[in-house]
Amino acid sequence: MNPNTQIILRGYGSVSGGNDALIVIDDVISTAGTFGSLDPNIIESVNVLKGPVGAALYGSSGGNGVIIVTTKKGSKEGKLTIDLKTTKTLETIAYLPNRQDRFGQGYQGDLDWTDQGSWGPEYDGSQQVVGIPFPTSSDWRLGTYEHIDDHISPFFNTGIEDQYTISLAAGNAKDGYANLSVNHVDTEGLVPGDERVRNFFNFSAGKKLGKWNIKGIARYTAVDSDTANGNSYFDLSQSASNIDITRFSSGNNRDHWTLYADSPYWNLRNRRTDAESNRFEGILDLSYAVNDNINVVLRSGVNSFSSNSVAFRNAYNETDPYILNLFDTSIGSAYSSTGSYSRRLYTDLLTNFNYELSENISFNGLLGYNMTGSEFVQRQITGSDFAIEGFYDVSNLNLVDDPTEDKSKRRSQSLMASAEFGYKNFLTVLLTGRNDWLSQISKENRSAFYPSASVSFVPTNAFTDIKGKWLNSAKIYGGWTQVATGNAVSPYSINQRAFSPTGFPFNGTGNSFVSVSSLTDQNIVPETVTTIEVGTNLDMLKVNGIPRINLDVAYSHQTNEDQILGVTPSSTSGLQSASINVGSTTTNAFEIDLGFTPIKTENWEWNARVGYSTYETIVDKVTDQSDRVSTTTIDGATRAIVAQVGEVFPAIAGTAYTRDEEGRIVIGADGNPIRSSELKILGQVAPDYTINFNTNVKYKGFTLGATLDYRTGHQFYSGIANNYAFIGASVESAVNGRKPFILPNSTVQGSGVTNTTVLTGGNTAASFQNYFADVYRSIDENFVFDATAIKIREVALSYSFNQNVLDKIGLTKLNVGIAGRNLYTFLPKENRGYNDPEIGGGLSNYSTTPPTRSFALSVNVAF
Amino acid sequence: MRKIKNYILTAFTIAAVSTSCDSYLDVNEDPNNPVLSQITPNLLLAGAQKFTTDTYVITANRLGSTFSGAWGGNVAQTADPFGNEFRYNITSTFFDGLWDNWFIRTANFSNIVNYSGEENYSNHKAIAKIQRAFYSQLLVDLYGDIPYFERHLYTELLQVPYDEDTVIYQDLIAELDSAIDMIANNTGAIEVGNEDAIFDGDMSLWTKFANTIKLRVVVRQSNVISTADAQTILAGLTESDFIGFNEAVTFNPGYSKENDRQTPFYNSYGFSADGQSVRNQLIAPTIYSLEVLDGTKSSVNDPRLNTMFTTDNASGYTGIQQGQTLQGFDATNGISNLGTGFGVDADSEANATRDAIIMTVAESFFLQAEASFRGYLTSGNTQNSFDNGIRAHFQMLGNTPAEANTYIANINTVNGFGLAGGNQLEAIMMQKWIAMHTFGGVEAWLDMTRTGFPDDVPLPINQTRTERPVKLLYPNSELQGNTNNVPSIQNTDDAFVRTIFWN
Repeated sequence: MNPNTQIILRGYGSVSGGNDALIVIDDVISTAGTFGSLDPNIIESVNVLKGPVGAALYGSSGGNGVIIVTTKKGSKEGKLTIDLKTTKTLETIAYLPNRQDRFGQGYQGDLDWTDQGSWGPEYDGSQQVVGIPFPTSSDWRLGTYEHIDDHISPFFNTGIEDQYTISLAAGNAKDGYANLSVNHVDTEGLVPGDERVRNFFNFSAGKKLGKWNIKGIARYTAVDSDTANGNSYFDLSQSASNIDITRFSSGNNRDHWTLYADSPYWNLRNRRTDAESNRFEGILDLSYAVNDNINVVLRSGVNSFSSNSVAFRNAYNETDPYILNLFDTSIGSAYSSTGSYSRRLYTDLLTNFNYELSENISFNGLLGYNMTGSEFVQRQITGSDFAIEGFYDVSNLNLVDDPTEDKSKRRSQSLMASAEFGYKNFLTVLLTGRNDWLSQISKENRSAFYPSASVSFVPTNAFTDIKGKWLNSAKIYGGWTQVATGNAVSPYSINQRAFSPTGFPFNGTGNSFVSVSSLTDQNIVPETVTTIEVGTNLDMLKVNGIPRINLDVAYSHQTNEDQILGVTPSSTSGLQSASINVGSTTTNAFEIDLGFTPIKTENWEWNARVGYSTYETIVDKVTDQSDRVSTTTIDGATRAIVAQVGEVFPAIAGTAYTRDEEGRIVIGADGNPIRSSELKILGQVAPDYTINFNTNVKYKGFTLGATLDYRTGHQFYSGIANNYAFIGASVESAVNGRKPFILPNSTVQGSGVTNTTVLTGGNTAASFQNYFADVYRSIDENFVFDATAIKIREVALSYSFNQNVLDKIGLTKLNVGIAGRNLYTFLPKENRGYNDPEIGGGLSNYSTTPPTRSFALSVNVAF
Repeated sequence: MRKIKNYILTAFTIAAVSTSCDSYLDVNEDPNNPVLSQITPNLLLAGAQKFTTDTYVITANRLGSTFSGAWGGNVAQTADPFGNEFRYNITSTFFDGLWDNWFIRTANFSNIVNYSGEENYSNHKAIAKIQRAFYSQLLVDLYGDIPYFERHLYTELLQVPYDEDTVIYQDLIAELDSAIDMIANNTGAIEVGNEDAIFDGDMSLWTKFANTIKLRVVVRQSNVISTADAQTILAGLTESDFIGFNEAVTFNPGYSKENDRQTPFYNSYGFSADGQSVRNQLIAPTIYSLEVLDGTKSSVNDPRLNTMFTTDNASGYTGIQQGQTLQGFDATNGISNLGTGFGVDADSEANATRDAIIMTVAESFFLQAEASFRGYLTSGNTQNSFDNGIRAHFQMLGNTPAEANTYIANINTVNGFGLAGGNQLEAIMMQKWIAMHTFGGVEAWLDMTRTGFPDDVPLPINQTRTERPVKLLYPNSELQGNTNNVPSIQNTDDAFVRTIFWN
């Protein structure tokens, strides 16, 4: 419901994260969120710069590729046009993990109406007590002891999203223009009661006044949401499959199927967050044409964001404790109010030069200066024990904690220069240089310089005789680029600070301070990424006026030095985490994109595009003291994402089975497999390759399109599979009827032969459960699965009414369309629908809802 | 051309002038937190003490009390209480917080010791040395070889090499002696005030604490140290040099009944500050705990039964065996929980503000008793120290001195409980086990490992192993963050193998 998009163009070059492409809208750095809010109808063009070439102009954040978006200025013919669009989207659960269907609610082989697990006896269709007696402790409820398929789905609603957009445009760039776009989105989530409203306003206007050209943009986004806290998907999954959860839906915390957790229905009403946020962006763009060759641009903008959220938990008073007054699950109330504000101010001062140095040689130059400052403040008040129920305000709390406040500031300055030389119409050489100064790095190290040089050659313009039906146009390009970035260093982190821990000042001691346990090396320097790339674009087979085949091939080789790594050091150093400058990785990426238009006639058109891309990042060095660092760890777990010398990055590491030379699992005399003596690399996060395919067929006004992709060669760890093993829901745990079994391909330690006699799992229900819940679960290898997936991302059918019909009604456009998104996902057998492998960065767990698919109907009118 | 030149020059000048304004970029001083190097030891002490105490009181007590057979779990309140502890599911994530918290938080003591300012903070440094040695000993006792000599260097050394347990133990004595020395020669040193939430700046008590830790270091080596060596280390020390009555090593910075300010044991195992969250239902006494107090094992009624545990619904006492499930448990009378003596029986201001205990008076006396028994303390008197240990425990729980004396008289001849009963070591260890119940859990477990006494504490039900664990496994953070130095991952079986030099 709250989408956080991440757009990654070419792989995971940086170990420390920050691999997203930069979004630039109308020459100004923006965010993926704003891009997503823009009405597609006001977008003039989207230009994708893969690779680091955009860094010179946009700074180090552009080092992973830049998506340059330009919005329309005015309307096509200058007069006022109005564009209206409405879309209704329905969202439903796409798939749920497979569960075993033989055993129900219970513990250690016995029925247990209090338990969250499925370790009970085999299903037999009999009537058994299910859940806690409710409303009083003698109101026992009976249910049929049998498996219910997908028993948690009834909890979720169908998500509904209604979107309305209106865009007005008038004028043109030369005589003056104004564009206004308003977008309203109303969402009801899958989790009952979750609501979100977003309003977005985008106004831009400009006019040319003699030598001056003035443009202004104002954007405002307001989001209001009311959501349940916690994770309903997880809570619901902690139930055996014989439980009809709709029977426990009254919302009373004791009307539940287990004693040991709060009711998810109770949570919906009593643990919620009310949040609102506002973002304002204002940009002023002033340019002055000094003469025909020189043009100066001053661009200044502010991007300010503020948010307020109130989260509360109502108290629950246990009035009828169960089991002889031993069990009181009263919960206290709690409150938390957070307000944050951030602002970014930046100014660009650029001078563009445009000269014809000679008849054949052209020159485009740029000299520029940028200064950017951001600041952030967050304040939080928490407390507990409401005096009056249902009134959520600090004044209503009986116990208020000390408020907290957090401020941070960062600033940068940059100088940039670029020179592009063109020879006739076929050869271009581009040289750039940029120097950044960053406030968050120490004075001695804060300056970073990075140049680039690239060439592009269009042989079909140089040698016009090769241009013909078969080769319509060709371009070959290559470049060497360096980008230095220090964005991974947080403000203030290079100083070893001390903080006053929670609770201080105490009455007796007054205030006191302890050292932080997270530190950045004070001598840290920016990391440097050097990329060499070559590629070609070919347009071929010109038939009926358009090239029918186009081919893009690109190869790049990238080395990343002095990587700024956030690592988990030994806690004996006094630190829980440290950010240091070491490590280097090498990335090789190769992409080939083939577009073809097999059919193009007056009525029919068929386009298709196939892309193949592969990239691989290998770690060359980690630190002087070690070959491996963990970059993502989970509290209390052995699995981690690691960077290890010689291995692909990111890699999944964890515990594994000890195996002998023949690959047999080594078990002890008690039948339990023995865990490996070190953490092993269990898989890679990034796919070996990705194939994407999209196609559309047009007939008269109809367009039918589809997009799908296939990625393979990678793995992921499923936290859901781990949880299923613990609660007895996993298919593996029921395979042998829960009788002790011979572990396939195993060998007893020291025996040297394949095991055919020693049983695993003990000989009681309790020992079998312990085997799965403890031994099996402690081996991370068991939960690493093939992350291969074929996803049908979208199938869309639309119809555009033709000009004749439109003229009669007085419209300029009328489109209707339906689309299905995330329609189907094909997963390999071993991934039993546990997780969508794309979510989680390699370590997947429960999201707030299972994976979903959606269907949208939209109508678009313009006049 | 001139105009162009002018414009280019102007553009550049603006740029140049702006970049020379370094002050624009000088915004990297944290407005939220001061820099560590500027903070004097008196402002670092209380925070350092608090975190390490919290881990001892909440985590170490839990580890020791479950492993020593003192605590059972209330199965009517929680599914699978203390499941990992009772199933001996010991892995690199089992209690890994103990290692992480103690190492990271004792770095604050190192920061005090290494404070390089001009003023004379030798009192504060001595306190930091003593406390650091206290926790370092426990880390060696729980893990064996640990990083020690090169720890706490922050970003200067992120992957720290391991040192041998025997060498570390020797250094502990040296550190304690150095601290005692600093206190003895502390003229001109800045006085310690209420920033010391343990002894309020009374340096003579710190000396006593240092001596008591030395005593513990020596007694811990009872299986490997020669009597002569022990006597040398403890030469000249008498009862008045150790922690005595009313000198318990306790921490209280001014606890209050507010969120994040309650005494730690109560906060975790009692009630939340607003009383809404009830946490004192989890722990129940093991049947063994009741049997050693209610006369079943000793034929003497121990009045500590009333203060250590609460009565059940039938005004009697019901305990539960470790690992017992709800299915086989007779819950007709309800179940007992921890009592008034531990301050978690009721939601009250008094309970919420109790001192947090690091070392009890009883522990000091029992160490002296054992040391006298073994001949390490030549000036010691085993019987006196033994009786005082019992008296000190009665006092801590809130039982009367009269009750203590009656009990001491009655228990004297009971085998395994009193010194005149036959097996003196067994008696000392049994009474110490009772005195270390809950508030000294980790000591009870380490003593059982070292001496084998008490030897009749049952293992958890359904436990297929025949022995108790004797140590912990190196934690996850070491496997992930100290790959070149940490001994390879151990399996659960390794937790039962005696590799620490003293066990």
